[in-house]
Amino acid sequence: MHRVKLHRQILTLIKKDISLEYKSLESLAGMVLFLLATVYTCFLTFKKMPTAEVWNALFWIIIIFSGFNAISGSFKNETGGKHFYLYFLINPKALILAKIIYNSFLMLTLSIIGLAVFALFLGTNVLEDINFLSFFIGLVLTSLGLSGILTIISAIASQLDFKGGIIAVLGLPLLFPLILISQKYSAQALSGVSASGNMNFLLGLLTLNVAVITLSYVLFPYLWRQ
Amino acid sequence: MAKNWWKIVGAILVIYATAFSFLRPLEPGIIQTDKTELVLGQNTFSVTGYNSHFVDYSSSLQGFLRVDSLRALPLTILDIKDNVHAEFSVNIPADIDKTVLDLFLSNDRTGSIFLPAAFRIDQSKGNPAASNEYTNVAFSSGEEISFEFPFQLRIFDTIRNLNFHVPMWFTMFVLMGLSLWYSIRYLNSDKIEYDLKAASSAKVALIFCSLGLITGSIWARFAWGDWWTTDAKLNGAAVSFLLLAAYFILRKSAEDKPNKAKIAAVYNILSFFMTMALIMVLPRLTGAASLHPGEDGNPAFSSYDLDSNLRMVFYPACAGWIITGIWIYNLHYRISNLKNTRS
Repeated sequence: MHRVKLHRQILTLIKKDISLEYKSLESLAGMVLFLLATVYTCFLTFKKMPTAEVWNALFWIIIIFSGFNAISGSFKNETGGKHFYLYFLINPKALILAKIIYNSFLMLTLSIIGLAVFALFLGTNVLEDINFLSFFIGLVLTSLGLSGILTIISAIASQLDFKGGIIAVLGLPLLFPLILISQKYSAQALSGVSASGNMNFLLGLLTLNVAVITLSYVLFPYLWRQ
Repeated sequence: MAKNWWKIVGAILVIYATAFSFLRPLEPGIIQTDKTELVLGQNTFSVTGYNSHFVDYSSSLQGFLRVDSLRALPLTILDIKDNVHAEFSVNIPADIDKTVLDLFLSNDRTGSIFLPAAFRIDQSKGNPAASNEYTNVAFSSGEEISFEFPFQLRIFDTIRNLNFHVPMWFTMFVLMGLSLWYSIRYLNSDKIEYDLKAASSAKVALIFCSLGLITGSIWARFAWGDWWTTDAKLNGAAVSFLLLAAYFILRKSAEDKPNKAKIAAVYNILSFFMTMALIMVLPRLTGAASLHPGEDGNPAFSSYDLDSNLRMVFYPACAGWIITGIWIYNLHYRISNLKNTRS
């Protein structure tokens, strides 16, 4: 059955997801529009950002909910007949890794767009001291962790009938550790601390990502074998 | 009977711990004084004690303000109103070289009781009279009382809550560990009894989590002034509650699915490790200050966390509540197993 090597399977699956996304661009456009709409809501209510702390908190809350919006439908193409087709064709471990990698790139794209939209509407006065490299590293690692947790949660939710509300209930508490670290890390980056000066949180983010991806990797095959 | 001995042990331990927690008195101590600032020269102030037996042992009552480890200023007793209220006067000399003084009182029953940093001296006010002789700092020990809880400023009688609040969390951790263990076993064996066991232990863990939250919240209101505070341990409590509750929502909404038990087991394992990440790893990583004892910034407990009297009740309380939790889990599992086989 699984004769093709794991990394070839992963690459093929990522390519499949990208071409599917490209074919129906409206879902990607929907995610970006959601981001725009939420940031504009913030602009309407806040006008200008009072402090960097408020900016940071709002930014991460919006990124989390964009993540839910983007990743919750992650397994919508792997149900019913397609599930059986893929079941005999690929290794579930390749599928979960491919989904996590694809979703983390999606999350990273969304958070970069989010950063740009934030700067556009809410002003750049809190970004004056930012250490951009350090902030970007935090963005990459948080995208990876977010997609690691949300992908396995969307795999769980894809097997339920009532998907809408439950994914937030299941996913949000699991995100607490990740959000706590990345919010603290990026608060430091916003005030100009470099990545090497912020090693404590950086290592925490890395460890958490490794733990999350290992757990997803080990647990997903049990969900896949219906 | 022979195989149920552990239930009897658990019940006895819980009854013993509960009875001792409520029935034994606190050690004597000083709660507060009506003034916190003294001027040079003659001062009068009144003291509120706790279990301090001012009237019962009035003949041996004496006190002093400690200046440093050797010198003290003697107090004169003006009036003893009742067992816990008394008025004193003190003469502060002009040549005093300390601004913060500790208050010490003693009688034959209580021994030395004290209020640290009771007074600040305002050296710009007052008119010092004739020079005052310093006396020596001397401590005395009172009567030996068989069992008293330690007296701690700020928390006073609520120290008894330690024997309820903390065992709730220990029991929750044991039951969460049990739930994790059965979820893993279910994934490896596909036996439905393990799924039922995981669900039962998670449900009892949720009950103990709620009890821990309620007892903690009431205690926090008394000791720290708020029902909820920013604290690493409270984040852990919140996330355990939310994840356990979400586990049951997941079970309920997957009820008619063929692989319901598998979904639940996967989520349970995931949530256990995330809870552990939040409770064990994060506080060490971020160095977040905690109000809980053993951490920084908590004068109420940090000097001596548990004294030997407290330990004699605290450890049995923990053991007793853990055994009781496992007992409740056992009953719950048997009921759900019966329901499952009947349907």
